[in-house]
Amino acid sequence: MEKYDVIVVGGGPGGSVAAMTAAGLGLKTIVLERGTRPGEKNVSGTGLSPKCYRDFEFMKEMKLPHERVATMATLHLSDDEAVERMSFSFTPSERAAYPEAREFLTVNVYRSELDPRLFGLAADAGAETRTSTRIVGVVKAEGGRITGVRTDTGETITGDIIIGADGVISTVARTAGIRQKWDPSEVAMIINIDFGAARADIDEAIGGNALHYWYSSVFPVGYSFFSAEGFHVGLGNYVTWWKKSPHYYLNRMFEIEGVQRQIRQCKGVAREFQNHMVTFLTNPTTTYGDSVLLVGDAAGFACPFEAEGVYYAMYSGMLAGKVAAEALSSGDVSRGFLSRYERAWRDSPVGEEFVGGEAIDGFVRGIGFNPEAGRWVIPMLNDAAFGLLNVAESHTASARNLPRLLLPYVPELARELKEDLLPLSARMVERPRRSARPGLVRLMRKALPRILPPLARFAARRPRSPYGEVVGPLLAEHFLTPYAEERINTLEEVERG
Amino acid sequence: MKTEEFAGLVHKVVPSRDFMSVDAGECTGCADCVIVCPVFLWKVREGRAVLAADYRERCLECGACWQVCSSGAIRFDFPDSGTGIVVRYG
Repeated sequence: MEKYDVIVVGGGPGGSVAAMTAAGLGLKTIVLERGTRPGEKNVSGTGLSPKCYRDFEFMKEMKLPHERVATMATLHLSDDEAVERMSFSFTPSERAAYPEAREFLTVNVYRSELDPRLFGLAADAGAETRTSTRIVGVVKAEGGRITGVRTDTGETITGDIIIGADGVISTVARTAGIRQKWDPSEVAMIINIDFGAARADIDEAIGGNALHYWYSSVFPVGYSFFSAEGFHVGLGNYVTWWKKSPHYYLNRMFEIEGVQRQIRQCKGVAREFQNHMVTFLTNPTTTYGDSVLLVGDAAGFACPFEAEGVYYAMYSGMLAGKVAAEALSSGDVSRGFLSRYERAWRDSPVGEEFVGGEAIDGFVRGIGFNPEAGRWVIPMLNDAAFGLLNVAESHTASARNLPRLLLPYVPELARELKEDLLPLSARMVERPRRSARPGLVRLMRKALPRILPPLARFAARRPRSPYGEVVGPLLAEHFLTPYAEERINTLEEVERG
Repeated sequence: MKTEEFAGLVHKVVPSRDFMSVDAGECTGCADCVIVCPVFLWKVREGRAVLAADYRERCLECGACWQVCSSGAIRFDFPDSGTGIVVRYG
């Protein structure tokens, strides 16, 4: 019987890049896709990030027929009555870290075009590719060693390493005994409607402003993302979040005049109803087992902030292909050897996305995915903009009125800063610096307890203005004191080594 | 316009074999599956979840019902090779 070095289960971006990498390293590789065509089981938010083009040579030449380059994104904020109150846009920074990031925010594509192209590249690299092939599970020899996979027609395909690139509900992970089910708190469901439209109409109404986020106090974060001749309008939240049918919330989003206007101006015609689940993990911990490597959604590698998945699938696929080659040349496919896969992804952009995982999770649950927070966030941002920019009064009078407009939001803001935003920024900005110079650490150890608590007390004792009365004590309580404590703890840790 | 009206806007090769089921003995009737399914495949009757008879024609294969089912009563697998949902504009 024919035997493969690597069997890749799933022909999405993760599986194809894994197969491409493994085959490129000379491994006898087969990739199995359950659909009749790659991409026909997949739905995504459509946006490929600049990272995809930075890190993969083949993406630089990839031009898909219906891609639209998004050079601007817009966030729309709507209130309880589905009335848009405020919006703002942004474009790539001229000082972004690398050229692609300076050029565009995303390239919006269809999976029905992307996935077959990547699958084809895997074939070009020498991998055998098969569609309409669903596996029912891994095959184990006596003693439990995994020796291959079995398809739903009863065929056994034999191989040394199985790369599970088979999505959120990974059959490979389930049958290899790595994981039965994610915790419901770790998975989100997204529903959306795809509209078709003429390219000229989208060019006219939308152009490069092709990523619209809709944030409100009545439905979870929604989006309208535009590709060349179509667009997706949808929203999502954790599978356990929904109190009513997802359609209730989608209807509330469709009530927004701005959403209706986009559909009208593009003359959009609904073509397809879609949904999918994505993982929202703070820290993936089940990414390999004996003879098995998991990539993409099967491993839980979706960005915990915006649920971007394709890049993480491709990157982890590449790493899995490489680790598979190392394992086979060492003749060791045990869990112990394959643990180097986890070291590899943790040390890569994939792992970096999870460094702040818990803090991001706090923010996503606190504000991003929490319409309740919209009740104060949206009016606060609106009132701040209004307070600064309105011409209803003299600017002197407006400036004087600003505290009256904004002070009611301060307690909620302070709580949110303390609970979510501060830990988020701390985790992302302050990576643990084990190499800090001991002298400096000792100095700061002595200085910080002397500086920060008095500063906090000082802030609390300055109630001389309307700001001071509210902000001072809150600043002291939520900000400076906990910050001082945390810094001191960190320094103590560093000192202990 | 109601978004529910679009729920039937799917392309499929209808699977000939069952790929989902519910174990009435395990089901607690919590209705989490009823709420989460965007194509309305589940109902609760006499305190137990019941799957629509025509689910093979309408299911989007997202697995959300299986994922939210805390009692483990729902069995979900993917439809057979080459059958099921065909997403054209994913």
